[in-house]
Amino acid sequence: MSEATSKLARRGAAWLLAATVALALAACQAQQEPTPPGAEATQVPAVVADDRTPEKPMPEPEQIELPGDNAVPGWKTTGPVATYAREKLSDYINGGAARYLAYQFQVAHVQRYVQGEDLITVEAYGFASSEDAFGVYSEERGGPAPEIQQEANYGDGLLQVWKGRWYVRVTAEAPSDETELALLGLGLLTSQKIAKTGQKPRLLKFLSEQNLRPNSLVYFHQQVTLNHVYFLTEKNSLHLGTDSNAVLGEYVGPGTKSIRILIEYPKADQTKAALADFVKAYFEAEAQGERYVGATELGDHAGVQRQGKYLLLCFEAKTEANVRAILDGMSDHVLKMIEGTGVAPDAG
Amino acid sequence: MPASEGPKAGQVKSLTRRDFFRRTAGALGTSVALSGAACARQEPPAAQPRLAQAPPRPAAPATKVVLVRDQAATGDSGAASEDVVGGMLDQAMLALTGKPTVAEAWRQFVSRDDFLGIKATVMMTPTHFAVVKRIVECARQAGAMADRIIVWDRNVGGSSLAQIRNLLETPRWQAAAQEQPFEVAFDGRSISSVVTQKATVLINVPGLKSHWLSGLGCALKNWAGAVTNINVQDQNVTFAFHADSCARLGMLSAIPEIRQKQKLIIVDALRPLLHGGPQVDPKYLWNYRGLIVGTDPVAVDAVCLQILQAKRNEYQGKPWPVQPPAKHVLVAEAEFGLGTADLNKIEIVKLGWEEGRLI
Repeated sequence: MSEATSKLARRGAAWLLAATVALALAACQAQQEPTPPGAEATQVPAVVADDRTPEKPMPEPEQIELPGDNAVPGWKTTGPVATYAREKLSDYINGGAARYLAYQFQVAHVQRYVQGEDLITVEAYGFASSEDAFGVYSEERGGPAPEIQQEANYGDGLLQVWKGRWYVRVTAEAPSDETELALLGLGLLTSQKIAKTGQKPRLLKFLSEQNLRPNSLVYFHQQVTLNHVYFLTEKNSLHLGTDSNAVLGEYVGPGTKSIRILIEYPKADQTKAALADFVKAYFEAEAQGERYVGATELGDHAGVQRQGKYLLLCFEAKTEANVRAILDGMSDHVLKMIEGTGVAPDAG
Repeated sequence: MPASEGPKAGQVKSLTRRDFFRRTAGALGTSVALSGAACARQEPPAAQPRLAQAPPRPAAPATKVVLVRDQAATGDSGAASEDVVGGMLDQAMLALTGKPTVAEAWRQFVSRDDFLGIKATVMMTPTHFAVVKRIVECARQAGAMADRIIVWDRNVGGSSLAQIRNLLETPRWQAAAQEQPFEVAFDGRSISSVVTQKATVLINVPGLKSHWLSGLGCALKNWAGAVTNINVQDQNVTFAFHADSCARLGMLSAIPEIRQKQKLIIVDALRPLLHGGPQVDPKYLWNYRGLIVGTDPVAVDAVCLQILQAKRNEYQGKPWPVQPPAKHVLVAEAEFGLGTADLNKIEIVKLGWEEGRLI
């Protein structure tokens, strides 16, 4: 990306690590002012289920307290923490709430910090599972990774942190060097307020790591996420929903350059139906058998294959033979993972 | 490969990634992505509320959209120069109307008897105060009374410049207590009372941004902040527009009061957002330093979509389709008759800074 190289990326990860450590020390040594009553994390309202909430009841939301005044020296909060339950998230980010509602989002806390004209915003989004928190975090990861638990990345004014059931965004719109340091410090302190780490989705391992572009794996459930990450079809021809789990990865090796998607449906019948509808919508053809491969307008090739309850998809491959080889490889890998994890294969 | 069946009469074809490349391969930069052939005029489905039927449109001259840019409009941080932005808006209004003076240009849209509602954006990427300030100043010069001007979004509004600044720049700007924005109500139809009861003239002042749900968030999308009782699931709502990438977003501009009173669209393209949105990843903000002005919301959005698409392609160094496709721009023309989305039928007047104009 021509404009995506951040100042920090040019400085390198070593600078970032040093900056993070320096901020951690400074933050610990800072004279902590008493937190004003209004700045405490507010009581989390009851979460009301909506149509995207799976039938399985959500666990209780975890509590988190965002950093207060001068937690990073010189940076003061602009008011009390704003808290948004699932059904109220649109009040904060309007239609942008769809990004979070496509996962088992529970609650968000938002705090703004100012120093002079500079503004930093910390947003902490809580989910019912660490897998879903990772899903939102995974949608776009770029830039160097500061030493912030559990995993983090930074680029041009946006720090993203995943830890346990939380996804944290820390932003500064026009960051100076000093603002970047404060931003990293607030991210670090917020991460430290989250008690538990969590697991990544097991499905990530169902795509091979060979030739996988680093940080390109995206975990998701619903069409709205796929539409944003890699738009395929306007209609939900892949039948994605709350009960589907999916992972997308970008591959860059010679002869393997491709976008690969693996979707896990609850039942193989659903996978069959998705295969048929997708082939019809995308290739404008009728699916015959369990695999379809075709060319696209840019001269590249794409394909889709059913493997039990899994659907394997490959895009942007150079040749039809590449697509077939990639689908074969994906299929083999899935079988190995099923055997390795003890998941019962469903031949449908 | 078997030929596509194509859209049936009265339908807008469901779009795929491949449609983007079909329409843009070898022609990037010359047409609105995903526009054109897939679109056909249709009546609203019977199940949908019939908000306002598109009136028959007489043959009209090409819709005019003015794009004005100035390299000095914003600093690198995005802070806007009130003087420069004010001058840009003046240029745009003269070019749009063909009038000899700025006051005469504005009197084409607002008069002493009008109550002016200015629909800004306060969330995530708020409209720059410099833009709204000049609109208010010019409206007053054209005769509008200060106490009959309201700038608002959702349920908050302001009338004095101090209130408006607070509305758009909170929390960066700490206002005195008497300068706090006031609450704006919605009526029984879930529409802002500014639209239905107060305003005689509406000016739409969106920011230019990509949008997670609709591809483009601009003139047509901005009216989502003038209604309530909506949600992204379209469950138990008054205005169900989120399905199919917000394809039927035009239903908001087709609300009779908006269709009738919206006289002018002024897009704040000083620092647009090219990806994601409305939530901001700062690396996708760019200093375009432009204003886009017109009277046709669909034409304005078509121009903005072209700029956004061109910027995305430039950013990635390869075609990077607006995701999801901004189908609502096409549907706004085809189904709701709100204007023209065909760039070939739009006269784009380009003023000022040329570098990086993208259109």
